[in-house]
Amino acid sequence: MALLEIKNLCVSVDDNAILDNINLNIGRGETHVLMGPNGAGKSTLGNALMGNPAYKITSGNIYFNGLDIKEESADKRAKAGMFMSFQNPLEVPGINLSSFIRNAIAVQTGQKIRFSQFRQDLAKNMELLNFDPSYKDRDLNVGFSGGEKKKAEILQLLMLKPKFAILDETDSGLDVDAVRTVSEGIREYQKYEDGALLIITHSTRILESLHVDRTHILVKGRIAESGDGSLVEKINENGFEKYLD
Amino acid sequence: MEKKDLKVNINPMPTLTWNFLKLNGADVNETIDFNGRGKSTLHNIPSKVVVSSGSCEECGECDTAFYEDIHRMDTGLGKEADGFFEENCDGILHVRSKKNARITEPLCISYSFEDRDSNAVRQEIIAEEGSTLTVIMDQTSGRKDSGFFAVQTKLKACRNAEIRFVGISLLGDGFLHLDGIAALAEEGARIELIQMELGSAKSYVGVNVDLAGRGSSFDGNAAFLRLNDQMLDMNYYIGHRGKRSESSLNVKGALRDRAVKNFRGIIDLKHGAKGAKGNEQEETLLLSEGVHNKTLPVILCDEDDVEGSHGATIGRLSREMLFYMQSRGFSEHEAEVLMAKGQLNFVRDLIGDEKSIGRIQHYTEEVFGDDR
Amino acid sequence: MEKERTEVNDIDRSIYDFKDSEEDFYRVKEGLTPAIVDQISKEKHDPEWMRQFRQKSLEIYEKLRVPDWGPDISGLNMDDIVTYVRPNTKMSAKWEEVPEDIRNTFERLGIPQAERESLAGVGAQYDSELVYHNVKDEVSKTGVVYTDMESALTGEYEQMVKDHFMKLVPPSDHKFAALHGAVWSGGSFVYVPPGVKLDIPLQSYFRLNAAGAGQFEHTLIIVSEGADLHFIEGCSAPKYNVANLHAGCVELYVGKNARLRYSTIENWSKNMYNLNTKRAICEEGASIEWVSGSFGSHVSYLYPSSILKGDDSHAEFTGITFAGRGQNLDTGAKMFHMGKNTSSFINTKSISKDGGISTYRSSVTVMPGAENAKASVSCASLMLDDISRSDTIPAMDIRTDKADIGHEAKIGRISDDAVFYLMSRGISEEEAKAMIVSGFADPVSKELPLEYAVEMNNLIRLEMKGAIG
Repeated sequence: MALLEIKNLCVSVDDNAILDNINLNIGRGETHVLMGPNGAGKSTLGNALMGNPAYKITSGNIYFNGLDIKEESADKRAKAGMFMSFQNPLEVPGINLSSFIRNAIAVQTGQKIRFSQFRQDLAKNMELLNFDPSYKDRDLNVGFSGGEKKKAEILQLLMLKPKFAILDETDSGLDVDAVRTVSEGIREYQKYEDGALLIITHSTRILESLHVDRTHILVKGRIAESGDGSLVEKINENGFEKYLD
Repeated sequence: MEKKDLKVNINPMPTLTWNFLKLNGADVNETIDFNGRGKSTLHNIPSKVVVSSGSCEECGECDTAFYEDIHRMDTGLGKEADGFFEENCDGILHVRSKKNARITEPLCISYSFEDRDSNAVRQEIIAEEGSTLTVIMDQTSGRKDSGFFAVQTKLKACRNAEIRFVGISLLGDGFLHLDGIAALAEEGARIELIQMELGSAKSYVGVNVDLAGRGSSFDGNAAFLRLNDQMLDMNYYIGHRGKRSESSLNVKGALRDRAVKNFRGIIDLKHGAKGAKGNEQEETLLLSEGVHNKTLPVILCDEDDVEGSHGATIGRLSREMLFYMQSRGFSEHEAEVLMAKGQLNFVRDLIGDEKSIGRIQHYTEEVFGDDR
Repeated sequence: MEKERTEVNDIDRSIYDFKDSEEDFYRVKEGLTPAIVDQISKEKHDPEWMRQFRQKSLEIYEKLRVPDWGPDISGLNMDDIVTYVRPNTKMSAKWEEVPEDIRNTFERLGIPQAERESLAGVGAQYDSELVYHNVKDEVSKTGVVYTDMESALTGEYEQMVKDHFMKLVPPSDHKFAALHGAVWSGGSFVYVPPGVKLDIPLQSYFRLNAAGAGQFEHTLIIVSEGADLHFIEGCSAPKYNVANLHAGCVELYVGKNARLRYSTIENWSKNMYNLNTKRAICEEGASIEWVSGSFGSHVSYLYPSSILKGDDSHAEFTGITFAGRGQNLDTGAKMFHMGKNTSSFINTKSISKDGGISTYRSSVTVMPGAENAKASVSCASLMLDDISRSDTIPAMDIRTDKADIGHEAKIGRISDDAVFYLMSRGISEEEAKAMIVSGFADPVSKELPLEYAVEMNNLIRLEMKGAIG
């Protein structure tokens, strides 16, 4: 049984149908890439999977770990082991990065956190992401640059250790160095036991140093082609033109 | 014990608007069992700070020329409420930092009360020319205590001086609280005000700032939390008289259950205040169906070479924010509590005094813990 | 260094400032007594219920106090105001039948030129009575009724008028609403049947010519379910040295899923006390859009209000106020959210110059149970010199948590940097400033009917020109 099963999924936003009959299975530990031109509905799929109420599932099903999660709110999905790195992470004034993550771990696990262990993990992961340690005491995302916000998302990914993570355009707007550090963080996550990924992107830069199991091309709300990691190379050379007629 | 009537119009607006809004002022009609009880302590009195109190005959500090102008100034609570202090306070606590004294350690004034205590105090704080002074005032009692506490504070920062005044109110759930402030800034002077209005059944906070001097500035940050049937009525008036005077006011907080909050914020850019800038921002998080929030942010402008702005965001957690928090595993309720704490923390963290921060943290953990 | 400054002159009012003789007009005596009110009622051939309504309103008027907020109106003495002046003519549907001097007045103001070009119907009121009313045939055929209030009151729509007249703005609302109830005269009645969508606007034009008089026209518009209407009103008066009073009342009923756009260009002379009341009520899915330009008057109190009673109803207010010498213009809007999923937007601009005072005043009220209310208020003020004044007094009263309320306001002057930037591109200082003021007013002028937008922009350009001192 796949970790995530998407069956005949149709999604609309403000009464406009965006996704049309999506079928996709992601197994434990697998890394899938979702590519496609702007406006194809890539982020819509991510948001629908994570349970953003602005994205309405008009038909179809989503199974996570064998359970139908279509009706569950986002926090229930997170507690079940899902995660999404936001394309535009929100600013959370008054709550610093460290205590935000600590609170999130606490509500997800329902257990008290061993503070020293947490501090060590946080420091280690921040170092891995080349993240200035002073940021742990700054309010989450408030005054962060675009790159720092994305690093903060990946830091949460590493600290929360979900079973499945959606990375929504995590590489967009980043310079070469930042893409490299973020990839580093994603590789670290891949090392976790069974950590599965759906990487949503419209460029291939972030994929250069990552192992990819499956690639899906989303065009006008439908999956136009699926293939293995080598499909990324083809897109890199030819772009999406052949799908757009 | 003595029964005293407190029948006053409090927090009056300098300019009126529609009466149906009931925001032109607040009518207070209370009878107070006035017993003058309660404990006040001063800690950390630095050298180069003059402190005097007691009845006016003994003290004499008032007679020095420093106080003349602030004696004439009303607090934001208005003349009628100020009259109550004059009638019911024997003396005034004076705190004065001497010329050019740079005092970094805060001076702490603590007022602590037990159930049914009631008291009113006046304090006048002056930073002489070129000096800097931080005063932290905290007001505490047991969580379930009732009582009355009224405090009037007059602040004056002389030429190029700086006053940081921190007011922390953690009074019990049955308290009636009056907090009136008048602040005067001379040329190049700076006044910073940090307020945490957390306790009390009913609170009236009235702040009147006179940016009289050229290049003077006011930086105000206030946080509030109102739960159950708590009520808070706020009035901030910032008058810009000095050229290039600057002010900023940030008010943040959350309302839950049947709580009521009124906020009036007035930036008055007076004629002649060339180059003045005033900004005020309010953010109020509404967490229950039954809350009632009223906001009146006013800019009065009688000068062209000025900038005035205000903004307000009032409502529930934005849908985007809620989704972000939920995607991290927080339930709607947990997200709301976290964001409400965030509102308070933003202001709390400006205090910079570990003890005070700890006390506030303890209070908020306790009140938010109540509904688990 | 002494800064160079540009001064902006008063709006050129010469095209509005001519006056006609009124020697043979019928006027009631100055002041306000039950006898005068009865006399007006008699002259107007009111039904009995209306006569009683007037007397009752007068009683309320006597009891209510003048507002204790807002601009000073102590210069207005009701004992000096003539509440009813009837031009010496009957209402006509043929332009040629309107007396020549009155016709000339309206011709000079561009009415009914506008009608010939782009309007579905036009009404013109001169002092207390309508002198001209005409509706295009193809509009009448759709069942749309557009007539003067007097005809509506005595004709087949009497019951409809009775059911709606001053129900939205009761005389007890405030002192000048009561005054209106007692002495109202003239105005328009519009009824748009269900589903009828008028794609060209109806227009009323109000002219107060008589010195020391008051104009109290009543506008009652009923837009039925699924219907759509754009209504335009224009107002002007010549300048006299005595106070004139305008206390009109506008009541708009917007039915289920209907839409009404109500545009006003007010250019009363600067001796006018403009104490006007406008209110709309929206049923389910209805929307009201106000566009309001306030340029004239000595004193104005004007806050069109929208009652969002039905679920999913919507209101927008777009306004500009231009206060010059001797003017104290207190304008804004009120929004009341009652139904679920309602939304309101307020967007205003004010300009103050030459000692003029402009005040933006508003209220947004979200009642308990008005779930998912959305409201946004945005107001900007521009100070063109340091002898003028501009105040911003917006209130919000929110009584539910399921609301998203945003507010922003800004006050400032023309940025020197912006002027410098434009000048560095070869534009003269005066042109640069005119461009900036036009740009500031743009979001509002965009919403005006084209001919008004052009006029407003010309006005701004003209006044910014040639006045650098």
